[in-house]
Amino acid sequence: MTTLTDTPKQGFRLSQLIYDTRYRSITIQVIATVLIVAALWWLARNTVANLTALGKDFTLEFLGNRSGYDINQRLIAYDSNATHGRAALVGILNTLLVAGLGCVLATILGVIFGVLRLSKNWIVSRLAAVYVEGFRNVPLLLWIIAIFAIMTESTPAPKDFRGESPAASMVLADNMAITNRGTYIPEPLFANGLGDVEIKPGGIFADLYFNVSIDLIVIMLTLVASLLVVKLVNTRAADIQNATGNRPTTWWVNLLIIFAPIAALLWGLGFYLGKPELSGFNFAGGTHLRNSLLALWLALSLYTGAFIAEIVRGGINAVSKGQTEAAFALGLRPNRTMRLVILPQALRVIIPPLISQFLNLTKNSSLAIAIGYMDVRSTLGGITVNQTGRELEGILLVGLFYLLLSLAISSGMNWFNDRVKLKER
Amino acid sequence: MTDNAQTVRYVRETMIPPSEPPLTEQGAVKWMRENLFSGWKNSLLSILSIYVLAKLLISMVPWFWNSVWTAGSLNECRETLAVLDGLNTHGGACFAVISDRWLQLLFGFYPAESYWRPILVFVLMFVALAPILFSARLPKQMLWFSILFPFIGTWLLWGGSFWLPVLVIIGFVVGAIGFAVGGRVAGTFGALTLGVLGAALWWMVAMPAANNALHKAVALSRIDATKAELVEALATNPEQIKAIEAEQATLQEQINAMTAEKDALVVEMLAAREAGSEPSSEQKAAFEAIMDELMVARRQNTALGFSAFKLQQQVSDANGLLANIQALPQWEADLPKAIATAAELDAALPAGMHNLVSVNQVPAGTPAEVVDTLRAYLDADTAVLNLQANIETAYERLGVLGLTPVTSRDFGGFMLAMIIGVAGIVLSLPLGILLALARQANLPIVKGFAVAFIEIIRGVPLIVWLFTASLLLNYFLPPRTSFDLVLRVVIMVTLFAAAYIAEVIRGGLAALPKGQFEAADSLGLDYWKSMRLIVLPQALKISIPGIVNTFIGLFKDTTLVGIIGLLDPLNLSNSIRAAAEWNGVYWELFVFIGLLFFVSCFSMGRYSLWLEKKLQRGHR
Repeated sequence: MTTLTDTPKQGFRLSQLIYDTRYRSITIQVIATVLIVAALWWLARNTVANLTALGKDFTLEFLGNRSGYDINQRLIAYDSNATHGRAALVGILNTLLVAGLGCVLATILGVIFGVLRLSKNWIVSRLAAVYVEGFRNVPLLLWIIAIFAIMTESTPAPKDFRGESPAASMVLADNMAITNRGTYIPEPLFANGLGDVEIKPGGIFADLYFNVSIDLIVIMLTLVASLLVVKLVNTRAADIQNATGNRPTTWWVNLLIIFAPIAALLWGLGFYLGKPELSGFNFAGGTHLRNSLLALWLALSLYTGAFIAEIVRGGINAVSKGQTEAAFALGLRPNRTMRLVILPQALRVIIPPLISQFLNLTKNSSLAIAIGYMDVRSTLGGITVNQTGRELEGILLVGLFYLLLSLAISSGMNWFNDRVKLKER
Repeated sequence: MTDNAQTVRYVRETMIPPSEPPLTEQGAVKWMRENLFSGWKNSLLSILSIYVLAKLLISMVPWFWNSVWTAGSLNECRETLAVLDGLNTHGGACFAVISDRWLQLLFGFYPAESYWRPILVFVLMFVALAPILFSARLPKQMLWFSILFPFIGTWLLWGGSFWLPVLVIIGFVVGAIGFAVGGRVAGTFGALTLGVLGAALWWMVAMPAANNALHKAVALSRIDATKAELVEALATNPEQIKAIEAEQATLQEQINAMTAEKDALVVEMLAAREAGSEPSSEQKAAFEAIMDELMVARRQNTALGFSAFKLQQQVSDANGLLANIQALPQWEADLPKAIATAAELDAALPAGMHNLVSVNQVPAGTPAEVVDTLRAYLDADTAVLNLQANIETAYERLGVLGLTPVTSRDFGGFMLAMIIGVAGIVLSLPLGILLALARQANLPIVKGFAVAFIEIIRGVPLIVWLFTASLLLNYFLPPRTSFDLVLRVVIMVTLFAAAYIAEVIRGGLAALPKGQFEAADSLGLDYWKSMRLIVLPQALKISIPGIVNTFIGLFKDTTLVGIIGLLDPLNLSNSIRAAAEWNGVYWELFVFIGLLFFVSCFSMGRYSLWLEKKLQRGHR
């Protein structure tokens, strides 16, 4: 006979907090929380003590004061009488501008060179490898400074374009002038444009005023409408194909739907290109792309493009050869095999590291300070901080901006990633 | 059986040798047909690439080929190009700037007589890394050196007394003893508490005291000898400096004469070129000889100037030290009095005001005499601190037994990039492992903190963190603490790298099959044992390529420290360009710096690829 002895019932003992795995995790977390909160409190207390010792306080009021400095590169109206907040906004837009342009160009370069590196053509793949390794293994800052130096040191000055036999001449049928002060390209103008609409919020958002061209809004709306109609046409074509097996030809209809309204609209608005022209010591008219913007854009794109090329190469390599062979066995042509079989699978591998490259590019745009491009770090985190002595607030705000931007980009791209991801069984 | 040979009329006894493949199917032609011109698209691409390549080579090769390596300034480079090859200013590279300044680009302003120290550290670094990188082929005992290397390396680089690294190591020993004793007495928590407390107490209280005492003892034991030495230096150095200056003057005359001769030659040769004829080969040889001589003489001149400067520095150092020696008794006598005064004033202060560091902190409505007392107390306290600092520094300068100390201000060039990069990675590894484990842990709050830390660090660019280190760190630390900018940068870079390393190691942990964790649990190992013995060795091994890649990124990012004023290679190139003789030199410096980075990063990248392949094979 065996007697089962009950496990002795004991009350809760203090030692269980350490030795019982059920309670230990709580103990650890409580201790960790206490330690971290104590550390944060210590930092905050030090900061307060240091600030009062220096006779400073923590306030964001300086954002409403007159900035007193000029920003040469800006997307919205700004002058030295505007506030520091406005200057920060100009910087933020400049950061977003160069990051956006950079992401687009870097993706294009990365895809091209990633595919070229896989080419069976010996010299092409070697050249692509030289590009990738050359840009990946040299600091970005060096590339930014070097490209900026190329643009300012080895391009002609505007005065070289003058005279009977000028030392330099404009390119692309006299439409574009590459000078050491920047590149001038034609700007789109409207002879009978609709003017601007002024957006002027009040309260603490008073600095967010800006003008939007009605022409641009109308063009955008037309484009969106055209695209919606195109989608409708395509859906109808697919329905017909499903019902009868024959797909009606849609490409010329689609082209017409997209381009005809836009062309009519542009004609109606009197669209023309304003060419840059030499007047006095400089070019006037046209859009002026500063060398700092161009150098930063090119350097960021070339550098990140090299990383993206490796990602693309890895992604395509990751799709097993059997997939290609299966697609060929089904009778798909190489083009469609790429588009319908390889790319969708490669994208699944490519997109997550691509997201982190976009994030890197955005963060690396803060190197703008080396060549004087006025991004948010140079305006809010640079000149504003130096002028107001608010380094704590300024740098915290800059850090917060980058953090929010990174989180926004990564969540946006993660959403996209979820959509293209293969649904697993 | 009949003989076979009779039935078969003719049998060939040897094989016909294979005929040559057609010309288009062999050798270079075949290779080109297959690899370059296999279709019209490919041919087009190849021709385009060859065109681009030729364009690039035509524009770059002459520039490298005609480069000038011996010249004292950019102007002389251009002269050389003009007279020897008849080229304009962009016809050839002026690598003379590299032969003139390469040591500076490598070491910054580190004292030249101590270059052996960073070089030795660099070599020892490979000895320390070898057992980790090539773990299969080297004995395990070498790991002991890897553990000691950070202390030895730091001491070699910054110099100071030889006992400093020993004292720091003792701190770890104290911590270990505390850990063991605490473990006996009160389990894991006791071990951790006692270990950390013991080490912290040693480093913050006992170590500075021991360090000061040792310095004082050494200083006192040889104070008379030092005094005699200093007096002698004061007596003899001025004469030596005068002698050197005289030598320099004659050398300068020679240099001037040679420069004049060279200028005359240049005028002559340029005139010849103007007239349309190539300068004679004797003229060219004479010009090259003079340039070489000039280079040698200038180097000598610089060396002389350097030794004169050293002697001058010795004189000023000796003056300062002698003044210190004289003032020391007075300082030591004043210190107790100053402490007493400060204590008296402190006692007179109302409660709650003892921790203030500035009269700005006084709450509104405090009576004026209290504010005055506070002001007097703060002044007295500052006086005490100053006296203590004076005494400490004096003994430290007098009692150094080991290597000459070098301040971080003088660090620069690739040495600085290496120091920040290597220190960042080595220090961030333990932190990164802890963060990765915390992020994996089954503890929501700890996990939350880890995720927040990693995402905040990774979401903000390094340059903003560097500005935080240079501008804001003083706000976050207790009042009156301030430390070295290089150290601050290293701390910031460590935190930055830790977040990235944590993500790499998290990947390694995720790549481990779950069975490994479960097997460790089923063996009855506790958390730390299962991590230390089963999980981490495998996860870290998988993560090494990622860690190397993080290191490459970090190494390239060290160029950013130039923006907050440290002398990284790029910032040094700016200061070289600021010198009158090299004003306008861009590409040569960029090429040199770029090449150095390329070589180091590319080879590390190859190592990581090699390792990746080797590890993959290990799995199959």
